[in-house]
Parts: sequence; structure tokens; C-alpha cells
Amino acid sequence: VEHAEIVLAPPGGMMMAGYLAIWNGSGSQANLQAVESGSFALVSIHNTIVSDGVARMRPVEGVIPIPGNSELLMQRGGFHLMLSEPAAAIQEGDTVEITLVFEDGRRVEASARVLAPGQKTIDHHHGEADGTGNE
Amino acid sequence: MNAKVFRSIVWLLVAACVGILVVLGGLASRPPVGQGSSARVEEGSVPIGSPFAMTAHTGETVTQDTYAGKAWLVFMGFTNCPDICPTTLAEMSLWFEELGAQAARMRGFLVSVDPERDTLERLALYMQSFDDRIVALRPTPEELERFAKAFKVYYKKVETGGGDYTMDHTAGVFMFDTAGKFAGTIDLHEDREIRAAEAASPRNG
Repeated sequence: VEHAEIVLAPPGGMMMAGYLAIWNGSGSQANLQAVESGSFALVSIHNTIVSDGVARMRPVEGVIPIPGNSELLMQRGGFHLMLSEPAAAIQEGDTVEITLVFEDGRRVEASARVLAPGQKTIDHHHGEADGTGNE
Repeated sequence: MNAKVFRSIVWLLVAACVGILVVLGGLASRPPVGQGSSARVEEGSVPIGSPFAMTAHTGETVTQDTYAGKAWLVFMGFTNCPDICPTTLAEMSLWFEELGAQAARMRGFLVSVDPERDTLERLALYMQSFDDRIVALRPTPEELERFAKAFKVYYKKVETGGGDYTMDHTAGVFMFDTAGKFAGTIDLHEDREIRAAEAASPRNG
């Protein structure tokens, strides 16, 4: 996991969004099945598709394939995590532990930074030495 | 291009665009090009889309006349939308901040497409995170239907299982100049090139 961020919902909003950049450095495809976190009662992966000017957000059914030596970059208006019902109050600057679950049973731990509502996620890609990498 | 440089460029385009909106408003007594001399435009009283009345998150009733004379930036959204809605409103807040004094001639609107869950209390809490020149509007379901028709925007309730639902909705920010004339759409979620081109030519909407 290159970086992981959770953007707080504005007060009144129940859903938080999470964005991950996952680099599959192996030569073979990895299938992301789910993301879990002990800090939230509900975590799911959604995808927003904007077409003809209309945004349609849907839960992801099945797995998200990440080909070997490539990156899955979640971003607004695309793949993102939906997190709701936090176990405890979460604030900007906190760190939340999450677990990526792959179809083959492999589990990868990561720490997500918590950002203020509406704050932009960082634009970081694999291999960029900008000090934001998680790994 | 890195995100920061790109942001600055988009911002400049938006600023230019809003500047044009304000100028256009000033020229509103002149008939728009291409509509001939019979076009009748009354500054400040031109209906935006159609008459409407909705309750703002502050509790007051907002109609097409409440903010007549301002340039309008209108976004359709809902508070249970974690991805596009808060990022768009945060972006809009930045426009207001960066426009400085000129922003006094502009208002932003979040029109809820989910009035069922978006109570006034919830909207009032939600708007605390954004610029106070952005007004959240809660229509009745009937008002929302009329508004969507008149403004040619789309929304649809979609069941996601377990009794939960999400809303499909028009994702762009549509703009009206200070005379209340439609001046184009900024879509923050389409390709960056398209977005930049749109912001640069607000009259092509």
C-alpha cells in the first residue's frame, strides 16, 4: 500500500470516504476482495462513475483485479472506500488501521491518515520519492 | 502535471469565468447575440430556470428572487454522498475564498436530491464545513421534481440492498450569470482537459 487516506465526512454526513493507492509489485494479478477496519462497523468498496454528467455510485461486486506490476489508485469520482459507524470519534490527523483482504486469502495491513472534510487526497504514485509513501 | 500546478490553472480558469459572469450581468440589458431585437431581458428579474421555493439550511425560504442579481453556482447533491459531494463543495468554497471581494456578487447552492434524509438540521451541520456563501436548499419531493425538470438536471433513487439507497445525480456545477442566464457547467469529475475547456468558455453551455 503506497498511501491510505480517510476523508472525514462533514458533520451531519454519515459516510466517510477512503482512498488507497495499492501497488502490486509482484508479477501476477492480485484480486482485492475487501477492506476491513476494526475502527468502523461498516467498510465497503464503492465506485463512482460519471457519465453524461451524471454521477452514479455503486457498491463493487466481486473483486477488483490489480494486474502484476501495476497500481490501483482510488480517487474521488472513481473507486473509493465507504466507511460509516466509527467505533470511536475520529479526528483529523488520526491514524486508522485497515486491512486489505485479497481473494487468495492474503491480508495486508495499512495505516490510513485521517483528513479534514473535503480535503484533497495526495497525488502520489508508486516510485515517487515525495515522502508520502506508506511502505 | 502535478496536482498543485493543475489546481492553480483550473482555479485561474474559474476565476476568469466568474469574472465573465459578472461582466455579462452588467451587460444584461443588451439582447444576447443571436436572439434578435425581440429578446427581452430584464436585469435582476430574469427567472432562473423557473420559479421555485425551497427551505434553506438556515430555515429561511429561498426563491428565485432571493439572490437575484448574484451569479449562481448550483450543485445537486446529498449529505450521504461521501465522495463527489464534499469534494465539490470544498472546491467551491476555495473559489469563494480565492475570489476575495468579487465573491460578494456570487452565491453557491447545494440543492439536496435526498430531502428524505437531508433534514434541515443535518444540512445545517453539514454546511458548517463549507463557505457560508454556499446555501443548502431542501426542496419538497414535488418541488425537487419540478426543479429538476426546469433546470434539466437528473436524479434518481437507487436501492443498494439492505433497505439502504443511494442517489444518482447530475455531478456538474451549473452557472448562472448575474442576470440569471444559464452560463454553462463545470464538471469537476470529467476529464481534466474537458473541465478546463468548459471553464474557459462559459457561454458555450
